[in-house]
Amino acid sequence: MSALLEVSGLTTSFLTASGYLPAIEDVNFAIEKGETLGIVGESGCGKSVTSLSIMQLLSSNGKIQKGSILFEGKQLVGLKDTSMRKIRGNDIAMIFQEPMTSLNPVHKIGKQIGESLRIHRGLNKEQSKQKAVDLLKLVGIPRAEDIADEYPHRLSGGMRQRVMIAIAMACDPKLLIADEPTTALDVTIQAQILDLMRKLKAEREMSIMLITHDLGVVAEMCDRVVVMYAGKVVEQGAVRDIFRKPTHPYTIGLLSSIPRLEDRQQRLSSIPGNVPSIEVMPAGCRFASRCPHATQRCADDEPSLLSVTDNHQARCWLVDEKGVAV
Amino acid sequence: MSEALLQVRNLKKHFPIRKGVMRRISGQVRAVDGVSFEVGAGETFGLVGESGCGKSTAGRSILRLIEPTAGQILFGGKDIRKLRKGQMRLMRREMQIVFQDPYASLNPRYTVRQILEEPMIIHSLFRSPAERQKRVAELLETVGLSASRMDRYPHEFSGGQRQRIGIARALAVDPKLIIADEPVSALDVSVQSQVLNLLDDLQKQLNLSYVFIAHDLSVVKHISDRIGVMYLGQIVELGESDQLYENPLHPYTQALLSAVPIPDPEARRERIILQGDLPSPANPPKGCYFHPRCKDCMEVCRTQAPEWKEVKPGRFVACHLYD
Repeated sequence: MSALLEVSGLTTSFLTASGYLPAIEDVNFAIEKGETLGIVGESGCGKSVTSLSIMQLLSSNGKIQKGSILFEGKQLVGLKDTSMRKIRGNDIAMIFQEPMTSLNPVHKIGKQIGESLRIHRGLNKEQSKQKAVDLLKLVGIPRAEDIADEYPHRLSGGMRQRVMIAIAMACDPKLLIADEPTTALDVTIQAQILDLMRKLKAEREMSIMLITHDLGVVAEMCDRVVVMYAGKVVEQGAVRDIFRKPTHPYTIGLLSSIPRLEDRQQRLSSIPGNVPSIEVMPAGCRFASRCPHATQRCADDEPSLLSVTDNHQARCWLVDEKGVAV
Repeated sequence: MSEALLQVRNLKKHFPIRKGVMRRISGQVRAVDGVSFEVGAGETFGLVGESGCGKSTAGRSILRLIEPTAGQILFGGKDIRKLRKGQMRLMRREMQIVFQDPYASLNPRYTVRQILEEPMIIHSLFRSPAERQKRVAELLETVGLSASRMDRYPHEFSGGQRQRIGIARALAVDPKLIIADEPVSALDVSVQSQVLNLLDDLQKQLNLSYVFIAHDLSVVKHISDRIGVMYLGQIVELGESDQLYENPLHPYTQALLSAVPIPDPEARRERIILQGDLPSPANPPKGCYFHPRCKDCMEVCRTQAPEWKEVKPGRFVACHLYD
């Protein structure tokens, strides 16, 4: 079975005062049909740039320099704007982090939801309005008919995020990219939204690419996980493997630095130091300066993604040295 | 528990809503509506709740950064609401605050040295420049930054480092109490744990008391000795942190705890998903504020506000289920 989305060797750079600098380098992953893939990492690791590259929504100073993005076997890199527009919002939809700013404040909610239906499905005004009301009901908004005639400022953050999901669901996308969909929400509202996303995914058999920094959300939602650090994929595998047998020292550090409700640990372990800056990336492994196991080899040579098991890879020399299947 | 350093009794902060040309007062937003708790010396009291529940307003009212509407704030037995402006300023040497946003709470035009010297100058501590420089260096070392960077500006530091500067600034005047208002919520997890460990170390070294305000329950539980859970301007449950997590009594606390995603793919548990949103504090529901969203709502909850009572030693809850 071929994957729904296949990203390989993706390198996206941004023009800065010191020329083009890569925000992500050589990113590889695939999303199968009906699968939820989590992309995890801390701020600045390139997870949002990855999603914007797929959607071709990079700002004007950014460009995809290398690599390919295959969606249902179709190459998206270098696709003309007009052809991309047919895919965006139709086959691939996106929800953004900030529900307060991603809706247009001067248009009614019904109109915003209906927009993609009018464009992609050629519905007229009444039809799209009716469908918008159905979609609002689908995402669990009470008084859907009234709300469709309201402006976004009348809704709370959780409700706005539901509207964003309704917009994304309008054309029955095959892939939903959710970029930190619950980060701006309170935990009880987050639980509502995650529950809704799980329900929709099961009903419609879509794939989700979930970008988040919250490992708790990943554990609950995802089938597979890609861990990114400083613009590179450092580990990927099934969610169970990543949480039970994390291999890359960064993943291990990340997992042990979260305070957990059920434990009574006295002291958190933490990763010393900071993420290297995009302008002065180290020659070897990008995590070497913060890694407890770093050797000279790590400082000089960058490891490639090495196989731990069949479906589990880590970008770390330790995998090589331990003699695990390379 | 040792003698309470800070006692907050029935603290209220109501903001007027003004309308019309004459700016008549047409209503009140009850941001904080009768909050009581104590913090002992060397203790951490956690205040947890969702956005808009009044936890930050409570924190700021305790320092009188915003003037409370009613209630008592006893610090070392003295009611600080009765202090005049000058006396209050002296009192602030004892009680400091660390803010949430390390990007907005440091003056971008001051060097780190200037930022840390300012409170010393205001409180006439370390009067000679040489003494002050020594103290600034000391403070930076305490929070884990190199003293050689004291002449740099805030933008040259990362988020975690800036939060360390914010903590150093609070420590500059040797306070007894620090109110930490969401000190780690703007930080990444790996950096967050560095700052939490730092707060822990400082508490042990300097016998500090913290009021730790946050929305992240795992973080609050990790750092606090006792916790108060706030909903719509009131504390609905208060108790020792382990007990509160193991056996939450109030239905809101139960829902809040069950909503936290567990970073373990195999953990399965009963989840209580609350319906609806937080009601507006300008127009709270009758009876128990939580009743429209409560799974155990009874007839009495719709009409009568529950009393705040001690159900076990040190364990308080406001809910009709425990009448």
